Amino acid sequence: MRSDLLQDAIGMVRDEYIEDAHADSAVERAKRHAEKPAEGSVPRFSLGKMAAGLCAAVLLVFGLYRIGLVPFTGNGGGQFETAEEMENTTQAGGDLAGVGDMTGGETNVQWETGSCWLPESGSSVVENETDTHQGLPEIIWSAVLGEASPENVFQESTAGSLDGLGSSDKVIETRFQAVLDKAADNEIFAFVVRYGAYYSADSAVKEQIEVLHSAYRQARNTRDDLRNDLYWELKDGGMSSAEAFARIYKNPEFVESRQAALDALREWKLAELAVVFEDQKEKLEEIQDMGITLLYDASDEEYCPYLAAVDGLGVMYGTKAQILELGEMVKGCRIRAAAEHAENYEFIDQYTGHEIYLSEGNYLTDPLIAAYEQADGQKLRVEVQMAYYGETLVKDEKHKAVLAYMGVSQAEYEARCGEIEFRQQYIAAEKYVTSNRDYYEEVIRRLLKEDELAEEWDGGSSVLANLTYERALELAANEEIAYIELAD
Amino acid sequence: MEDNRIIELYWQRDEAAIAQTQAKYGGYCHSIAYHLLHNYEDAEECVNDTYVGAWNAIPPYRPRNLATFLGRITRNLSLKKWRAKTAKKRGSGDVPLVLDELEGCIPSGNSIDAYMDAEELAGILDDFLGGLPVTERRVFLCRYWYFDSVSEIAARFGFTHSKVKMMLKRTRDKLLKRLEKEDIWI
Repeated sequence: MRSDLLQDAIGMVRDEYIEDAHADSAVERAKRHAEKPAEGSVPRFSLGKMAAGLCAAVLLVFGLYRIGLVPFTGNGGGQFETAEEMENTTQAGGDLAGVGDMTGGETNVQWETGSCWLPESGSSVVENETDTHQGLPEIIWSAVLGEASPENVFQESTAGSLDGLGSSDKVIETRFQAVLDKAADNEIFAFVVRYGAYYSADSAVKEQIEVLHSAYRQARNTRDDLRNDLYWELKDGGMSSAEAFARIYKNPEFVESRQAALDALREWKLAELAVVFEDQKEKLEEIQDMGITLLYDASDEEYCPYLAAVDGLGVMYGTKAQILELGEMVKGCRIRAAAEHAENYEFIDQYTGHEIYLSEGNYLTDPLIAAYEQADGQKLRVEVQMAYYGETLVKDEKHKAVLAYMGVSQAEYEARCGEIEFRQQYIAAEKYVTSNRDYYEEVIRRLLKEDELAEEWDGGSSVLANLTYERALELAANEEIAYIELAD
Repeated sequence: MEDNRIIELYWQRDEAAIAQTQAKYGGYCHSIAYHLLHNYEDAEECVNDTYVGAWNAIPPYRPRNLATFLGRITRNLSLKKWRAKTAKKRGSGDVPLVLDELEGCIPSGNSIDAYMDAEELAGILDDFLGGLPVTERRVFLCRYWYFDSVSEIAARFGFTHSKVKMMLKRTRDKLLKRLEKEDIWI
C-alpha cells in the first residue's frame, strides 16, 4: 500500500511536532487512556431515552408475561455468573516484575497482573437494566473494577495513605471531578466516600491492627522470598519464565505460603475497615442529610473487599449538583468515582505471571482433565507447552549472538542504535536468537506424531496438537514437556 | 522521576529503568499501540518490545526526548504488527480509515518512477508541517501520528466533528499540492 510509506514518513517527523501535537503531556495522555471506557462498554443513554426505552421494555415484557413466554424472575442480566467468568476477563495494568529477565536471556518481560482484585472487563457506564440495584434511577458508575485506589494493592503505601488522606482540602478527587465537569447537573453518579485521617480508635485497637498488619507483611515476605528462590533456581536451570511460574504455582510449599499471605491480608484489612467504619460512619449520615442516598456501606460484608481496596466507608449516589455541593461542604473525607458490581470483588493477593493449575501427579491442567472426562475417549485439541533445559544466553552472550545474526559489528551497532528501524531489526533478531527454535523443533519432531500436530508450528515454545487422554499423559511424562492445557 | 534520571538508570544498567519507564510512559506507549491495534494483548506486546528496544539502545544512545523516543518505537512496532496482521484482511479501529485518508494525499501517476524513501519524505513533511498553523499541525498529527479518532480530536480541541474532518481534509489537500509541487510520486 502506497500510504504505508507516507505513514512511515509521518512517524519520523520532528520530536517537537509530536510533543506539541498533544497540548498535555505524555503522562496526562496515558492517564486519559486509562480512564477511557474499554471497547465494548455500553453507551450512556439520556434520561429521556432511557425512560422511553424502559416504558417500551416494560410493556413488551408485560405482554410476553401475559402470553406466558417470560417468567417474572431473573438473575440480573449482565452480571458475571461465576468468579471464573470474571477471571477470564482482561487483567489490566500492573507492576513490572521479573525485570531480571532482561539480563537473563529472555525477550519477553513477565508482568504482574497488577490488580489484587478480580476486575470487570471495563464497562464504566452501564444501562439501568444491568444495574445491581434494581429499581434505582439511572446511575453512572464512572470507575472501573480493578482500578481501585491509586495505590491499587495493599502495600506499605496504602497503610501509609491512611494518615495522608485528610491532609488535603480537596474533597472530590481529580479524575472524578473531570468526569463531573462534563456531565449535566441532573445526571446521577455513584461515588465512594473514603475515610479520612486519624481515626480515633483507642490505642489497644490500633495496636491490634498493627499486629495484624505485621503478620500480613511477614506472610507476604515469606511467600515472595519463596517465589523468588524457586524462580531463580528454575531459571538458573535454563527454564523459561512461563514454565518456571507454572511449576512454582504447583509447588505445595508455595501454595501454602500464598494462602497464608492471603488469609493474613484479609484478616488485617477487615479488622481495619471495621474500626474505621465504626469511628467515621457519622459522615455517611451527614451526607445523607443533604439528600444523597446511601447504596451500601462497610457494615455489608459483601462489599468490604471493594471498600477496603478504595479506602471507602460506603458508596452513595446523587446528582452532579449535589456532589459538587458536597465537595464544597464536607471536609475530612474524600470522594471518588465508584465502580459497579463491587460485590464481585474478592480479596486476592498479588501474584506474578500466568498461573497454570496443574493436577497432582501429572502435567495436565485441571480444565483439560475435566474436558477429557467428557470426551469419551476422543481426541481433544490441546496446547503442549514445552520446557527448555538447554543453555540460556546471558546478556553479553546474547548481544554478541544477535550482532552475529544481524551481521553487524559492535561499532556499527553503536553508531546506529538510535535509528528506529535498526532497533526493530535488533529486536527481531534478538527474538530469533533467544527463541531456542532448533531445540523446540527437535522436541516436536521426536515426541509428536505427524498426524497429531493440529497446525503448523509457529516457532514458539508451545504447539497445538490433537491428542487422546492416554497420549496426553504419555507426552506429559516426558521431561521436555512443561505441561499440557486445553487449547482455546 | 525526571527523564534524565531514567536515562541515567539505563546508562547505569539499572533494571529500575524499565520499571520507571513503565510507570511513567507505560500508559502512553500503550495508548499509542492500542489506538493502532485495538487489542490489549497485542498492544502490551508492542509496549514490552519497546522496553526491550530502549534497554538495548541506551546506552550507547542517549535520547534527547525519552517520550517521543519510546513513542516512535511503539508506533512503528505497532504499525508493523498491524500490517502483518492485516495483510489479508483489514482490522478494526481507525487505522484503515487513516490509511485511506492518506491515500488521498498521494499524487496520482506512475508510482514506481520516482521512488523516495521514508526518511527523505519525512524531511519534506517536517518542512510542510512547519508551515502549517499550529492548531492545524496538531490536529494533523493527532490523527496521523497518534491515530486518534475524530471524536477524540474533537473532544481534545473543543471542536465539532465536522470541523475536525474539514480541517483534516484541508490539510491533506495542502499536503497533496505540496507533494505534487515537489514532483514526488510515492
